[in-house]
Amino acid sequence: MTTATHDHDHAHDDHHDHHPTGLARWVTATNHKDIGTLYMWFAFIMFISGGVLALCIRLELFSPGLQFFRPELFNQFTTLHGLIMVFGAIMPAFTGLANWQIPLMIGAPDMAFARMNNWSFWLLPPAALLLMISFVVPGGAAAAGWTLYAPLSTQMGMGMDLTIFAIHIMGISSIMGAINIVTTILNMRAPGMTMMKMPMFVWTSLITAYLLIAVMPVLAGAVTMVLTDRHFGTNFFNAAGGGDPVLYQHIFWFFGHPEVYIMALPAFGIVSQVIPTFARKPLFGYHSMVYATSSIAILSFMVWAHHMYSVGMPVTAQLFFMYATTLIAVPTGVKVFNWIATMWKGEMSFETPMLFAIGFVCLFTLGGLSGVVLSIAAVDIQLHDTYYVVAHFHYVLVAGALFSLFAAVYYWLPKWTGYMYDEKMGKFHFWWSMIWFNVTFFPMHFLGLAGMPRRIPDYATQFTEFNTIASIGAAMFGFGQLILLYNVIRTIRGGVGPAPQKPWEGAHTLEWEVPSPAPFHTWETPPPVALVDKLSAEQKLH
Amino acid sequence: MSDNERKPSLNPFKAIGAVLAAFSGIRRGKDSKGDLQKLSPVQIILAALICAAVFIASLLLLVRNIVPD
Repeated sequence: MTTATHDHDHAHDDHHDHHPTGLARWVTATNHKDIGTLYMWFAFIMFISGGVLALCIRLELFSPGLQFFRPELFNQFTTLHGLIMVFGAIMPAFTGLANWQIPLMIGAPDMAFARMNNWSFWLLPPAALLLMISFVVPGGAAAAGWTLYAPLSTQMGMGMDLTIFAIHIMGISSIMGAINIVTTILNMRAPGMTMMKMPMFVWTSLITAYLLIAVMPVLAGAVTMVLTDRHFGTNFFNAAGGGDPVLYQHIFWFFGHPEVYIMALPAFGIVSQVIPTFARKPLFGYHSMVYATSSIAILSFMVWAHHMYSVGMPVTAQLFFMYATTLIAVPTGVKVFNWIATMWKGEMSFETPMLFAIGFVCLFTLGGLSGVVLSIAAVDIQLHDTYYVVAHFHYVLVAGALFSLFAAVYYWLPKWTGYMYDEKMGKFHFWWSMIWFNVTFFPMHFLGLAGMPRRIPDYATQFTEFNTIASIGAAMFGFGQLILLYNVIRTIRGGVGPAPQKPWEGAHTLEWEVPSPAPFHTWETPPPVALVDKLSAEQKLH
Repeated sequence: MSDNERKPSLNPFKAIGAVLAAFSGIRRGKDSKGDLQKLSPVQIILAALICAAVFIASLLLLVRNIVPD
């Protein structure tokens, strides 16, 4: 990496900031960079909390028999691990990235609704608090699994109510965040930046935001119906009162499947920024990437019942959802093909962000393939609710979403902090994560195929070896994340030296045209059309 | 290709062609540039919704044929 500097007149920006300092800076934050930082740290704290729960799960499963936790508590761990990782870690982390990067990448001075942005963020800590304190209320936390299926969810103690309120609050936060992202992207792009010249990360954030606006209200509706069933005498999901528990599953998964793509599409966007930079080639098939993302988004609304094959559905419905689900592999395959074609004959170098991006492509494809296996109704009847499913979605969400987040953090850290991170330590973090991730989750395929059910605290002795291996892998993977924390804190404090304006010579997007660290206010004057055109030409966008 | 149209006009078949090409991910570079000039986003979104409806209908038709009564 060298420093190709394109100095433009932004140096003046960082000397005229009049904003509160100390705690008030963060509580009253309206600056997109500050709010992005808040989101990222919040997500990291949630990631560690959810990780601790995961390690408790793996500790119990290290050997057969009940060792440490009562089964009731074990179920609370699995439920809260899922909820915290999905709603507390991955989704806020992507919103944080969107906040930091979208205005920089499209040449806008800030997000469209700066104060609403503040509110979106500050709703999250109370929601997280509700989830955390639910462990200590009578009856403990929600224990119905992250899907909160009725009738389990209509029967539990007040921990379930706290969870429902937490989901309401986080849902409101997500919807406001999404409205902000859509408005910013549609209205605040720099002159000359047409939709088809936007960086892929901006595109995927836009489509993700639409998905969020479409499905978060559905989830809110589902949990509200659970709430009224619990306390106000309704019978939406109570079979004894004429309701239907399977209705809950349909509503939940109408939210839940697009939710999978809410967690995957921004990851696709990040990887589509990182790979061209380090392959020093424009993204192969930019247009087809945009179209494939849209196709995936549309298809994601018509496949929800593939989560419910074993519930009981007419064969016609099972076949419909099976065919539709299998077809999602087409646009997803287009993306994987395009990333590989981007690297093909590129001048590749393997800095940490690129390593995580390549790791993403390999492992996400594996997770996608096990998804195709599960999409076949006849096979799913056998594999439903086994560890095969656990293996599948951890390949998609950990090696997919999380690895892409790691790539993003290392990629943009020099821009955020103004310092370079320790590359050796970053590479060590990658290989450590890569190896122990696979040690943890690959054996779960075997466990699932052999019939080990998920969400159980005890298991038959023939499953012992693979569970022990997975538990060791999980502990190593989990503690290894402290390497990232150390590297980030060290970088904030000076790292291995100041970062140039553009530390990656292959990068051709607008955020690298402002100084490092990015000043408090950027693009108050939009970037000149000539600059936007030049960068678009470098990315071969027309 | 004739480039005499500056403003997007009604091109239902071109729009549906673009959407189908987008789904499979294969499109000639020349055609893809032409799409941007000749089609408006509204046309593409409409075509995509129609394609989605046709997609659902054809899947339903297929599974009804497969499943015996």
